[in-house]
Amino acid sequence: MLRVEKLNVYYDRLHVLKDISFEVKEGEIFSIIGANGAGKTTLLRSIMGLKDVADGKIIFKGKDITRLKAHERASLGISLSFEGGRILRTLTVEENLRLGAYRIDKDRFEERLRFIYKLFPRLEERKKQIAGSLSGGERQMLSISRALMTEPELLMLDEPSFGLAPKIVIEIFQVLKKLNEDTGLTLLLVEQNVKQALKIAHRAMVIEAGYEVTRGTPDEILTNKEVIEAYLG
Amino acid sequence: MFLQQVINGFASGGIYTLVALGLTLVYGVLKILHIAHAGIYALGAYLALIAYRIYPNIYFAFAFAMVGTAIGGYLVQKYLYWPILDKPRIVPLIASIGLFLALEELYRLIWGPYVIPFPQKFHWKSYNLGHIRLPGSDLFVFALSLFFLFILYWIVNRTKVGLAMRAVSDDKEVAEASGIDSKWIIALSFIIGSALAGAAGLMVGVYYNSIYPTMGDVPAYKSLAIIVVGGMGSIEGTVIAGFGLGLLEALLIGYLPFAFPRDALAFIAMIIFLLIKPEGLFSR
Ligand SMILES: Nc1ncnc2c1ncn2[C@@H]1O[C@H](COP(=O)(O)OP(=O)(O)OP(=O)(O)O)[C@@H](O)[C@H]1O
Ligand SMILES: [Mg+2]
Repeated sequence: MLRVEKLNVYYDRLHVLKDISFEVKEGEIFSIIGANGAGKTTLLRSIMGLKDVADGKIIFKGKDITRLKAHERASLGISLSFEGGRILRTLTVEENLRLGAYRIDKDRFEERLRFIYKLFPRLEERKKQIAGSLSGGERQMLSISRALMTEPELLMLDEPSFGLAPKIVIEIFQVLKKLNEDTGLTLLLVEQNVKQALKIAHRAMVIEAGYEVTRGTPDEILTNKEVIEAYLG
Repeated sequence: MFLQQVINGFASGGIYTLVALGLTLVYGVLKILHIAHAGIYALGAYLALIAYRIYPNIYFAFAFAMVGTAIGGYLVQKYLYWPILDKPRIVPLIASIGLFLALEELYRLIWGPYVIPFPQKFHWKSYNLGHIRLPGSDLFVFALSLFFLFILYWIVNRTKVGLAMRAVSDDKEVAEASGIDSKWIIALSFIIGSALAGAAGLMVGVYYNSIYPTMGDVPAYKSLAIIVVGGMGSIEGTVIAGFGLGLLEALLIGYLPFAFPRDALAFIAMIIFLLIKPEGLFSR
């Protein structure tokens, strides 16, 4: 579904992603794990089209999208739930969702909205509330929901567990897993929370300072000496 | 007397608001101070002159001025701001001031340094409310301002494109990732803001019966003060600060026992706000 080939990305002269390559297959959950500053957010932003890439290719459903703009990629079926539950703070919860559905028609919007409210009933209770006043957990739920409203085929998530209580983390990961199992949605998940990320992933990759360290199934990664030292030691 | 001052204040407040809203819309989506907007406002008045030469009708003049300024605003964002957007924010600010001065010189070259009267004479009726006389020109300007404000309100709060405008001004990247073409939404903000300024320019031409190259000077700094007081980028704040300024000016002039420098009030208000409430009335 998504193929990234030898991606190189810079901030001015700072080389942030170095020859990153991987493939996410249809219907799978692919996790990318790395410490602070490893380049995870930059990678997702590059795939979404919010950050120019210097070199390399991004192929989505067989189409080279490396030079497409973000809104064009959104129309093709790529979606991103931003880091830190970033949503439109001055809009209401429902307006955030409506915006996510900017490119779909009214009937499908209503249907989609019901689907989202079933996933996160708490959002329905707060639909008229200004999104900036939501709690951290609710904001994260809204961020994921906004990204789901675009009817994506590939949903990218940037640290959905960050800063949340363990109970809410478990709730959110359950929803993600269910989404993948029930609707076949492909997920590209970026996390520092190694345990949670590997628990639901089919395959994963570890990056460090912009380089790939290792990749494989969760079991393979959990037995990798380097990873154990860096993250689980 | 009091009601007369109030209506007079609402009339000039309406004009201030219409001009300042362009600044607000542009600041919202681009986070730059669009000083040259006051040049677009003056353009509206001059375009009304041209319109009258083609076909002397007030509706036609409105349409002509608003379409013309909308195109003007679109070209400004496309050829001036867009190429320098990734530069430090001082660069578009200086470019904007430069364009404003250049536009004034351009108007001077084309139409001369004179004060030109508005080509149509309006015979305003006054409306009597008991023993109070309300001048028709004030009512005309006030009613039209409300009409344009209502249209803007409707676009911003009730349409899909308005939702996109609010989204882009809140967080451009989240909006883009939701499938919104922010480049088009930014252009649209200029188009709408400039058309409003064009309407305001025409209305001032009618109201004061005078059109001249530097007529944008006072609105330029007043609208700056208004958006600071209103809270940068806030539409509600701009409307309240704009009408508030018009009203305060009219009342102070009407009731203060000494001559008050009318045009200084906007800056006094701005300085007070910067000192005690720098985020403005409606901070976002
Ligand atoms: N806008 C920017 N300008 C300059 N450098 C940046 C910018 N954004 C990120 N960087 C740098 O790029 C590197 C990778 O950042 P990135 O945000 O992709 O890391 P990350 O893996 O998402 O980290 P975290 O886990 O803390 O979110 C870091 O060294 C960071 O300082
Ligand atoms: Mg990050």
